[in-house]
Amino acid sequence: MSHDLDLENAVLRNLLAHTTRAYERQMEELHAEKELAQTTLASIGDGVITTDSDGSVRYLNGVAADLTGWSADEARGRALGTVFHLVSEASGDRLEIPAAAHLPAGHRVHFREPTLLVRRDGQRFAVESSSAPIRDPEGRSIGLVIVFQDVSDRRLLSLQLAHQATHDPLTGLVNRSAFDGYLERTLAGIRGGRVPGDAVALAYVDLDQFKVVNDTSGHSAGDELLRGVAMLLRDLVRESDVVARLGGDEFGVLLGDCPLPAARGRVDELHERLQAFRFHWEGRAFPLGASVGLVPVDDRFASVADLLSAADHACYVAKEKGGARIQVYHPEDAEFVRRHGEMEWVLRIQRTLEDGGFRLFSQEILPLAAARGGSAGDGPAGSGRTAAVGPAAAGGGRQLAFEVLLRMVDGDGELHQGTSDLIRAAERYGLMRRLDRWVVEHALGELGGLPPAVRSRLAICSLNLSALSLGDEEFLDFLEDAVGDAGFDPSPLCFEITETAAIENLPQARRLIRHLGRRGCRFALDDFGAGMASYGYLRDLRVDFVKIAGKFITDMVADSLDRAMVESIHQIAHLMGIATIGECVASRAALDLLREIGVDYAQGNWIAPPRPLGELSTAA
Amino acid sequence: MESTVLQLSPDEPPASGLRRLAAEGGVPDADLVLAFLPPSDDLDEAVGALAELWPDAARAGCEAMTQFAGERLTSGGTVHLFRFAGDGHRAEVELVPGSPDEPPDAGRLAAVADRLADGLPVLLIVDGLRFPVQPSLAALRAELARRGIEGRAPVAGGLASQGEPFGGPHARVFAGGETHPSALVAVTLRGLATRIEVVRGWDPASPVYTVTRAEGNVLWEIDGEPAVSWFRRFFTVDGELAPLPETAWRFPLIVEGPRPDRRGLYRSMRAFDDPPGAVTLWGDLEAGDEVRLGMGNESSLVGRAGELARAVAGGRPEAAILYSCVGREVVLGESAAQEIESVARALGCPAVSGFFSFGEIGPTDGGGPAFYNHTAILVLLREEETDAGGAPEPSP
Repeated sequence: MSHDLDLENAVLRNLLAHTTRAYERQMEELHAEKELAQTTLASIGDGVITTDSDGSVRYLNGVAADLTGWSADEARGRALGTVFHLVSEASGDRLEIPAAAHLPAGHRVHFREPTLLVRRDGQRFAVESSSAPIRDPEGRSIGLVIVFQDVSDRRLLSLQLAHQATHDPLTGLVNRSAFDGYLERTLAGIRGGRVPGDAVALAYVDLDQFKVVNDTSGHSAGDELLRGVAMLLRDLVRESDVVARLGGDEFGVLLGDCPLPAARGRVDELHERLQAFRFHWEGRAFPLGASVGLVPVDDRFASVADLLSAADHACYVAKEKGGARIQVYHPEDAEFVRRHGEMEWVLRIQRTLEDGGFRLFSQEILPLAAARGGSAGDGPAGSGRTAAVGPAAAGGGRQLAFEVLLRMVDGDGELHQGTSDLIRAAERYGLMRRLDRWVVEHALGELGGLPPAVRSRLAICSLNLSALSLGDEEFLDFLEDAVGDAGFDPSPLCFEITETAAIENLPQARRLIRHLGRRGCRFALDDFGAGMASYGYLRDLRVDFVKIAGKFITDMVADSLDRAMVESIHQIAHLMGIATIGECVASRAALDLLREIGVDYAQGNWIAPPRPLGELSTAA
Repeated sequence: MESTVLQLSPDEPPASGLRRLAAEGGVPDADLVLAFLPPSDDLDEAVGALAELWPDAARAGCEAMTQFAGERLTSGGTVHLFRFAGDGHRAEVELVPGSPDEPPDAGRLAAVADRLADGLPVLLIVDGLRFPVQPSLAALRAELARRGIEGRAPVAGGLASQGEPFGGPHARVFAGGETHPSALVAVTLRGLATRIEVVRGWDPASPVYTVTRAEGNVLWEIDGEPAVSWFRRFFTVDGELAPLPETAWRFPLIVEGPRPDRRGLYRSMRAFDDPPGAVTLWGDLEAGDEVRLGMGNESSLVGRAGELARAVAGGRPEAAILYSCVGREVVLGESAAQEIESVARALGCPAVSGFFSFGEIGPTDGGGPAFYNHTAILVLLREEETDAGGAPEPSP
């Protein structure tokens, strides 16, 4: 192998020539790229500054020149901090961007806090900036690039939006959800030991005369009054306290660093000022008063809801005492308020009975054996189906099985959905018998008025009887008479009594079952399992149906114990020849499970929600 | 450890030379004999002579066109003798046959990996013409990775050379008394600390290009351009293509990345336009490899070898072996002897052997072992002492 130096040199020349050409092409491309980059940098809306590794400015674009007040020529070679003078918006302290040489690999500099750029003439702009090292192909840091934006408008807008999100637009006070946040943080601070447990108080202020102003002088006057009160409250509390409008004419004041005795003194003063406040509108002066509930905030309150509820209760008590006073919260207030609420229900029940505001509804009881393999119950509620299910009746059409439910129409004409408060109040204050009578009379009346073709399809019409009615001999007489006088075959009638009520009134229950049973009426033990689940009484009472307590049905899909309870009740009942009904079915899974267990009937909002009883007359 | 390098005369067959040396004054005892002998029909006899003289020693070696003995080049053969002082210090030699048609036994390669995983240095002496070196090294790397050895393993070696540069059907190796035309010999060293350095010294001669198509050792495209026209661009002189591959040996391809375990590999040309349109190399390239042409001369190649040897001489090696690529010999020409001279002098150690090889095996920065061209692999050896004092830094 000869070592031809000429040849080698010739190849080297080739390499050099090609490399030179490649280099020239690269330089041309680089130049074009640089031109493009410069044009781009000059055109973009962000300020861009680059420095060398020691932090001296090498370049800035037009936007950066405008915002800093330094031209590119003036800035070149100066320290970055001189040209790009940043301060903290909160503290005014100067903020430094470290030179690239001191930035760890891959590190970027972002200031989390809001920052201001101080222009050469002293004018300040809110800016957001990001700084990153510039690296050569070997990864060495050779400088820094800082990109920044004038965000003055955006920051102002964001402040406005944040204010809107947390403040009541009418009064400018903190709104309910933001106030909840303050309370949450306070409770968390107490739980975490960061806030003393006896140093914070919450005042719940409810204006006594607001409704008068609003009703007599209109909403504008009401709004003006609320603004005035808000201003007054804000003026009276310390900077560190939080005043919120909680809704309507209710306000909350969170008094920090203020143990109960001191809080009481402060709220006394606040209350006095509210009492002395006169609202002037169109020549009239309205006196104002306020009821205030005061609660020491401590760790007995597990949640914000508990805390606000306590303050609300205390305020309610203050109002019930005649208003215009301060009530310090006592734990017993809650019971007081509940009782009071029940008394209100009594008044409403009486008024509704007099005004004819009660309505009867029916909810389908779906026979599962008939529906097994069929389509009944396959779809969720709302499919327009009424109680038209079950095996075909002799006269054609499907049999009708349902439970009659009581509903109340509120004073404003709206249907009141929940009846548990109503029933509890009626039971406690002796109104249940009246309600039961009303239900029996009206249900039998409506059923008697059904077209014969529909009535002949009635299979189960289930009516609820309360424990109090069951224990009342007079009511039982009434009931037997009513059934006797109904004017139609009473055999579809089924009376539901709760297990607890039946046990408490065992002789009466036996009598009712015996007497009405002779007429063909049937009986169901309602809510079985919710109480004692006594199979002994089940045998003793000779009922026709057991309605398995809804609490087991609701959770049985996920809870094997509940499922076992349902299975157990069903098996025992079947051994006694008693049919079972699963109520409160809220899902397809629950329905399928009831079918699997072999339960005879199912009922619940997923199968069919309650519908006015009157719609039965049009049942196809 | 006592280490001696015997230089055989090119004027007589190696077997005769060995017997004559023994008769003239005896030869030292040895526990390990490494012999790099000239290709000849007498190789079997030479291997037999080694067995006669050192019947109890571990013996291994190969045929090589040019060998190193101390500071000098020779073509008569070199025998490197090692006598260990420490109990249990010894060398084990294993021959692993293999060819493109009959791949080497995976279990034997796994056994080599086991020893490396135990931290034992292994020297590899390989027939580079028929034995499938690169697949075997890939298998070894995989075995090491499987054992959790991701870094540099203490493995080094060279490929036997035979005939005219890069010519001949095979280059023979031997282990014990057996010569083999297509095999790898693994010499495991127990009780020796090693340091392995990769000597490069080639300067960049072109910008970096990207391999866009390659299959094993066959390079098809660089930057989307057929490899043949890419090389032709540089190797056409006065309208005529320079002799290839010979001219290209002076301008090896340097792998610059991007994969760390391929950075620093060198590739030299084996055949131009063969297969048509492609260039066949002595080592593999992969699509995505970033490569450039390198150039070297006496100053850069010898200078770099000397610098490196001086840098590591502080470890006071008791012996050294240099596997230097014949591509470097081509470039250095009459100055080829300067490389070994420079290394041996810098090390201050007379027991230096080795040969110009048809390819080298050494670690890479990102993993190893890897197959090199155009480099020199320098192995420094020192026997470990029982108190662990004074040993050179083991290979990391």
